[in-house]
Amino acid sequence: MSQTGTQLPTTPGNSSITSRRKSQARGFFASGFARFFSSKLNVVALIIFVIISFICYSSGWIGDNILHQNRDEIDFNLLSEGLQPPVGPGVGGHVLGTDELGRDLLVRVLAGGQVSLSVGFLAALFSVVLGTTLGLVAGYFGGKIDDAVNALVQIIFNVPSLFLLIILSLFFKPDILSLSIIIGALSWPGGTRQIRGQVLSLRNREYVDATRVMGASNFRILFVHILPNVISTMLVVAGFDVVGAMLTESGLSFLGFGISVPIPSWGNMLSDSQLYITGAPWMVYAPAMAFFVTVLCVYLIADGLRDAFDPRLRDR
Amino acid sequence: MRRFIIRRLLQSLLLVWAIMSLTFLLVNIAPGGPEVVLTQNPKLTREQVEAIRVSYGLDKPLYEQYVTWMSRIAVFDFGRSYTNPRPASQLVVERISATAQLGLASYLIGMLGIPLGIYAARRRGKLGDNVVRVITVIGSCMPVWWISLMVIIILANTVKWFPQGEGTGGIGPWFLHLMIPAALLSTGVLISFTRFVRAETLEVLSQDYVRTAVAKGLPGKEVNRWHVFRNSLIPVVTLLGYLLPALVSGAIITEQIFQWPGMGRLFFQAASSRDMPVLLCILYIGTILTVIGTLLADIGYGLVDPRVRYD
Repeated sequence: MSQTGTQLPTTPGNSSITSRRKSQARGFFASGFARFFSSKLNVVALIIFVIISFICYSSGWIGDNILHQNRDEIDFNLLSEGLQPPVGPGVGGHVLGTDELGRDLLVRVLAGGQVSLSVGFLAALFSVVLGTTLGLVAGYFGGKIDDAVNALVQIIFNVPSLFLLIILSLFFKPDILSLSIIIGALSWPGGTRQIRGQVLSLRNREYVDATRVMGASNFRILFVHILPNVISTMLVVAGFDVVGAMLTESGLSFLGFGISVPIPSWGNMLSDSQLYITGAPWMVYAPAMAFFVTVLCVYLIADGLRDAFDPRLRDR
Repeated sequence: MRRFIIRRLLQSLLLVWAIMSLTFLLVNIAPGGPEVVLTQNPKLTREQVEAIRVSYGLDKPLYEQYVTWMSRIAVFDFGRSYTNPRPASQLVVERISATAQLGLASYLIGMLGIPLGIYAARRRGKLGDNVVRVITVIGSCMPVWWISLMVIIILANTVKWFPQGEGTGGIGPWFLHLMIPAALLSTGVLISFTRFVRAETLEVLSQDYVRTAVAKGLPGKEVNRWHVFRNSLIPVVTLLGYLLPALVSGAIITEQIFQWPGMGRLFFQAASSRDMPVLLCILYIGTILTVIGTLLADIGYGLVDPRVRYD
């Protein structure tokens, strides 16, 4: 995990000790990931998720080179052939059909996935960075700083976030970055609480006292010696943050207050398709299925990580 | 205990104040300000815009506006709606009953998660438990609006009908129009209850006092009722409070999808027309409900669990 400060001379005897210890016990992270990968469900979820992300992020290339359709390109050939969009799957070379304007649905679903995934991960990143920093600082310093952070946590916890998100979205025309920042800013307190609790017990450990006696600064103690011990918690929190952010983003976009057209996101595609539920149900199925499968995979990965790194919670 | 309740009440008031102040600040420093809808009309002359700003008190310095606004919302006065000549609070209040019906119904349906969680815990590792767990995992990944959309698409393509608005003409249509959105809105609550109760029952089942009770020769039913059930319900009390706000925010989406004439739909309409007084009024109610939910959770926890000591 963290390297020792002094380099030991590599004598034959010493190296044989290390190799023996390696064979006996794996490190915390190695054993955590080994537990994670020992579950077939986790592996399957991870593989599906990686494939989905890969396809979504290469949607531009796929659109240009394989499908020969652009995200916002309207297929006027349909009209000249006497077809009225939305056309169903397979018509006019559109694998999943088109939407009401005649844009290829498959390309839009893939591009929408790119947007949804980006918001999910960026928001989780903001939330985890903010939540961890505040949790570390609050738990380590205690006193007034702790009180201030707790007050902030209480405030954010008690804000009805969907209401506030909608009100804020009226002022900032939401794009991927601004939406991620706002969602992240409203979802960090959960992580802060967990990390603060851990730091409270970590800061009184002997190894922290030893570091302090050796003259390490608070900054160094926090980020070099305590942070590595909460990384597994961060990982788990981040996993569930991604799920939460994706659900929030899609909900907002579905209501029309999130990512707005012409940029597709799974939420606003489903919102647009609401008018065509009887006439063109394929407009609903494609983004709905993509959304569900992706969120399910991320959720299973997050759940698997939690089981792997916090064995007490297994089977819960 | 009394001191604790009083202190928590004061804290809650402080919280509501802090959240509303923060919202006021956010709305007022945002580009365009709260009056953006009023001043957007290109036909208005400069003087007319000024007159509108004066009539809504938006020309005064920020701190002065803040003081008047705070003293007015303390008595639940949010000023005139921007799109309707009536006061915003009046518009909101007449929608509360519809939202309360929906919320209450879905809360009751969601409580079915309690028996479901107990059932799963007692059949741990068996088929019933696995089915429940798969359902909770899948349910956690399906937001309310997603399930609603799926249900609507199924109904629309099979029976050519789905509920829209309030049912009129007797108790039957009313019930049907209420129950379908309520059941969908309750999924989140149902899943939370199931997971919590299952986890907590498992925890209690592994406690020494349960083993002692069984070893003493008490019949299984007695143990379940007096030793397991009572203790496993402790987290449910907190959950009852914490889930209150989830229903309110879930209502925005559900009410919009099913055209249910409640506060959530009004919020959506007000957001579309940027009607700031109505938006802030509903946000205020939402905040108060959330704070009350947290307060109830904390106090209820102390009432149910004698191990919790205050001070």
